[in-house]
Amino acid sequence: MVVHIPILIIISPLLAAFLVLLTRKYKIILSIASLIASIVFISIQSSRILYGDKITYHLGGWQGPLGINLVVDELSLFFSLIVLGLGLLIVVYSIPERHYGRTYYFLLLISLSSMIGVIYTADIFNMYVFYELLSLAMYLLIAYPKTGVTLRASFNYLIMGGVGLSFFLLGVGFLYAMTGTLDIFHIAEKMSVAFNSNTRMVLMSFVLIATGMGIKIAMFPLHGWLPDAHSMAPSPISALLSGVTVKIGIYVLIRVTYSIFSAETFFTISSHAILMVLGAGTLLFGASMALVQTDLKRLLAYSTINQLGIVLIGLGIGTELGLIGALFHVLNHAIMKSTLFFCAGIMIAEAGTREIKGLSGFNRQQPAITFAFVIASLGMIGIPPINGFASKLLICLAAIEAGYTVLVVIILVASAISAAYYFRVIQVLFSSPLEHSPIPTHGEGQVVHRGNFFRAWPIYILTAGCLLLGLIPALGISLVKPAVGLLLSHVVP
Amino acid sequence: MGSSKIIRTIAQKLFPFIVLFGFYLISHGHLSPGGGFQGGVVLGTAIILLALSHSIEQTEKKFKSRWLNMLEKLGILTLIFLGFLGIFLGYSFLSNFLPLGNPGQIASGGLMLLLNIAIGIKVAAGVSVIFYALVRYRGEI
Repeated sequence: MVVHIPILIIISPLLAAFLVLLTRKYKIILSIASLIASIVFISIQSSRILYGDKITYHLGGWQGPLGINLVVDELSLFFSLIVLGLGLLIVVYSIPERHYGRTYYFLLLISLSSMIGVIYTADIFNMYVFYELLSLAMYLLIAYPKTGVTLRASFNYLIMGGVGLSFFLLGVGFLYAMTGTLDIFHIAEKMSVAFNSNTRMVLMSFVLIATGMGIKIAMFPLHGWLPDAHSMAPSPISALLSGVTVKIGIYVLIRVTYSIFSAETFFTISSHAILMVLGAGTLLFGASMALVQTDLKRLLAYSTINQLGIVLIGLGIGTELGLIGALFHVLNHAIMKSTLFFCAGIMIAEAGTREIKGLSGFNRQQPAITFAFVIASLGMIGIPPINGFASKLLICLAAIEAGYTVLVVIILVASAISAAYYFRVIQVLFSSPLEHSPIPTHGEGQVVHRGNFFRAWPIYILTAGCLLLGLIPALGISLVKPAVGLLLSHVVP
Repeated sequence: MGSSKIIRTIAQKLFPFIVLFGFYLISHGHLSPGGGFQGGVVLGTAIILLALSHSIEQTEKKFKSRWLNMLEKLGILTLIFLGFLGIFLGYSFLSNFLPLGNPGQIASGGLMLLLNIAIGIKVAAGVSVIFYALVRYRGEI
């Protein structure tokens, strides 16, 4: 059975998804059990992969460029650990919400399974199929409450995401036309010949794929769908979208850039500079838009755009330190942002309003949740003992090392702005409650679970993760470093 | 409903032939153009034709949406089960463990025929369930 582990990790949530539809009682147990099984499977293999072994699995016994291969290397291991760990916590967090039926768990498991599919597959068309499946599940999950706002947000995301994935598919078509194969590693072998014979088509396919992924990871001019979709979705789904789903776009961008185009193309058309400029734009835009929001979840959604800008800057610098910083920030942001959205879910349910002003005095009601929120938001700003600081510092050091001092200034300015908007929320949380609340409440305050076990523990675990990775950054870096070594081994022969 | 007797009779007489054609497409998917998805859609359109010519209530009595829902899940679970059977029998996921016959015959594709049947059942049930849902929720939202 050990040989079959890569496919078992994908299939176990997928099988559970369809079994969930057949039962009414055991939906939660089934989903948690399947995710735990996947985590056990991946942890059996993780030590082997971290020592530099690459696991390849031939689906249906078909080898090479003909069949579809699953490849688990350091980079895919890193991303799949984020997906599975956070996915399990998100399922646990959804338990107290009674009105989430079978369809909810079905879609959640389908999306998690297809995320791992995107991460593991070595066939670029199969990657597209899994990404489309993931996006379809996401559109439905955003629209799950079936109110007018969520339907509009979901439809907006549907159109934008459809356009983005069409760009991706067009790029894949160009690659196939040039190389005659869809296997990523075989395309990479034939890439140098194709690059010399028709440079323009290679560049075109790179631009198409990068633009498509740019829409999916909400790069600055293409971010229009994100604030609505991330803020209107149910809180666990917001955590999934902000914490995990956008990271899949970053994974595809990294994989395609470094494994297929082997960074020669990347530097030929100076796209690293473009990526840095877009990253800086994303960073400043997200920060300044978050500053003016009055809706808590919308503020967090714009903060996601802000943090993705930092990751893009790290990827654009492209040195070893920059990549380590970028990938470490992906991990940190996934943990911090899901903590914040989990806390926001509890706050909104307790206060009955999404407005920040309506949350005054929350500190007295639930001090532990407030503490977790404060820790995670300090991490977002980049205050030293918390994990966000470590990765931001790495990216700043990489920028200085590569001679882009202006980027450091931009990151510091954006951090100051994010301090401004997070401290505004924290100040409201600690202020005395209003006697007569002037804020109109909406009718969502029916789920009040004070100190609920399933609500609180995911937050505690994630907060502990924030503090642990902040105090001992070497833990996270030891996970990231093999992946970066793998990426750079192609660049510097 | 407003459809005339001619339409109702023709649709009723056509129904078995459409179903037969659907099964032909599914079972010859590995030999000729067609396959599980295409054949499944043809099967689904047979049910849709009945629902359009007769009334939807009458069709739902014959083809209950509860059973169609069940069949849809059964189709995909069969597919995953057949994939797992490959692992249990010592090959890899979804690999062929059946003997290969003479090329050109129905039983020549190994596992392919069974997979096509599973997909065909799923798609046929899925298409008709989607149609039922569209008819039932017409005018809402």
